[in-house]
Amino acid sequence: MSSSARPRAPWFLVVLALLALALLIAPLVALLTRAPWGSFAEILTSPVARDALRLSVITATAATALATVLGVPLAWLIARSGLPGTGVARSLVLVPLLIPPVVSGVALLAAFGRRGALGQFLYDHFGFQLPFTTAGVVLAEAFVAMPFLVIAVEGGFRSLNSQFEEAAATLGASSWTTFRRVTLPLVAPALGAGMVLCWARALGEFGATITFAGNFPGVTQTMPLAVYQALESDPSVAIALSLMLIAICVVVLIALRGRIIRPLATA
Amino acid sequence: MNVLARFTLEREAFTLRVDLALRAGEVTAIVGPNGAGKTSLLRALAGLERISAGEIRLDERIVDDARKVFVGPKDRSSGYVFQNYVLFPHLSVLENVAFGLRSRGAKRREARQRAERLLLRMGIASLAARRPSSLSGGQAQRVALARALASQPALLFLDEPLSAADAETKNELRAGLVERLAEFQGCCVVVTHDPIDAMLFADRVIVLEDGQVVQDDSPAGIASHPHTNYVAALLSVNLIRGSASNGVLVQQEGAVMHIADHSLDGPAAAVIRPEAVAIHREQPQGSARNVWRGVVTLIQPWEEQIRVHVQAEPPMIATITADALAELALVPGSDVWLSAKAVDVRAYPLALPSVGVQE
Repeated sequence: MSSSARPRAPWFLVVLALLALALLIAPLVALLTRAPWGSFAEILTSPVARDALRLSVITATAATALATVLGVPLAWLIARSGLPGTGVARSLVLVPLLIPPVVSGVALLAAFGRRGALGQFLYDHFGFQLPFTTAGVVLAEAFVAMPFLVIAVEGGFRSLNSQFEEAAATLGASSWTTFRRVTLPLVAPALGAGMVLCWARALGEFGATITFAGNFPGVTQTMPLAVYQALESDPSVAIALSLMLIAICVVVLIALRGRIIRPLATA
Repeated sequence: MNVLARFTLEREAFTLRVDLALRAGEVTAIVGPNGAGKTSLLRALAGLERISAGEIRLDERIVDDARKVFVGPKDRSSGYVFQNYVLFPHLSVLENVAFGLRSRGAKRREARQRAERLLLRMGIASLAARRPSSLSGGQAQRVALARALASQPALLFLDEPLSAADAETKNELRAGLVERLAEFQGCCVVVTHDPIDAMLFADRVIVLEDGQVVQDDSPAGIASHPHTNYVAALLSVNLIRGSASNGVLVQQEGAVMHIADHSLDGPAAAVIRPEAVAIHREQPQGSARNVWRGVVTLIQPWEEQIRVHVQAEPPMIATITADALAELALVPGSDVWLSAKAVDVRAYPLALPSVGVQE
């Protein structure tokens, strides 16, 4: 059989596939048709929208930075160390992906709330509290989004040929130099993809944030929270803010596609 | 630096057992069939593999005693050329070569300058800015060698340095390697499955079979007195060194050998397989370009045939059948004529053309 002779797709598969596509696209199209195009600029430059947008970008970026600093070593440990318990650690990393975000929020409160196991210690010794602060937003976003980064980077470490590290060692490089100058650059495509996924997930975070950090404009009210609040008072504002969020995601994806997704595909 | 390796390395369904002393300034070739443990031996010496029992010493210092003491690869002052080269794909050729200098504490500028000088000396300065992915197999091999040599190691390990190169560049690379290894002051170990490489590179050949050293001798010693069938089949070749020009290889002793390759010029070596050497009682008249006289010194059965060692200029081992032996009535001391066709004399350059920069 020649490779170009593809089997004809059964008609019901085609119908189901088109239905799936419609399901994914229809809400976005509806959003576009219902958008308040006339007052779009006015809504987006309103103080509430500007604060929410600024806060969202700052917290999502900070959460990605936190997830990178902590998540890359964790990914390396799971993929490379060969220590006992790494299998369990890999499963634990997936937990935030599987539990409902609102449950994540409750769990964070249990740990870092004023009465929480760690939160009380922080408050008693440093007078520092996380719930209902911008730092709390960052923590909630990092909690929910870090698994994306860890999984992507761990895959990068795992598929890396260990001979590169051996070569570095025979050239006199310490394990830290090897990690910094060889291992990390070689997993850069996976790290980039992981950071993009992590940032996008943090930007859209809602459940854990509103549960753990509340919904205070300018302090903890990120874009998704602002959308939720606007929906109760003025749906057209909610639609405008939603489109804004979608636009940011699309722009980031396009901007990074050439640099990150493509090298990943060819790596 | 001298190496003392007396150890056992156990892996699943495989045990390597060696007792070797390697001297500075000596090039040792490790040959043997696939799975004999050649690469494991090299990796253990370089510190990439831990031994199971025994010890490895570099000069007087114990670097692995299979228990508490283990000095890692970064502190063994060794350069290692991997079989597939393993150049860092994210770094340029220059940065690859400067890597070892940098990680051993040289400043960025100094490391780059020294790497540049080395590339220039090795005739590959034009590759400095290239990425490894854009190099040919031959170029990558030279860069890998430069990277291993850059920080002037006391030990140099090469794992099948020519196996990834295509047939055309192999001769040129081999000549380059012969030159580099002759210059190298330290202790050098080359793993190869190619008998020609072992004969050309090495002062000493160690044959490994099933994790055991079955023979340890000079190339000439191995060729004339192979201990096992594997060695005999692979390494029992006649090797001649000399200077080539116009299809003739002139030995230092003055003997002349016709070769098929007329383009070869300068230092060269030629290999004649024992099956290609014919023995005659009278001076032969025929197409063979090389005809010379000698005296039979040794006759030994080998597999179903006979090996006849002939003292001549150059000396030869010839493989003949038992029938031929009977017909020629050869005994040690017999005067004989030898002949070999020029096409059966495979010649290899031993030095690079001195003019111009390669590539």
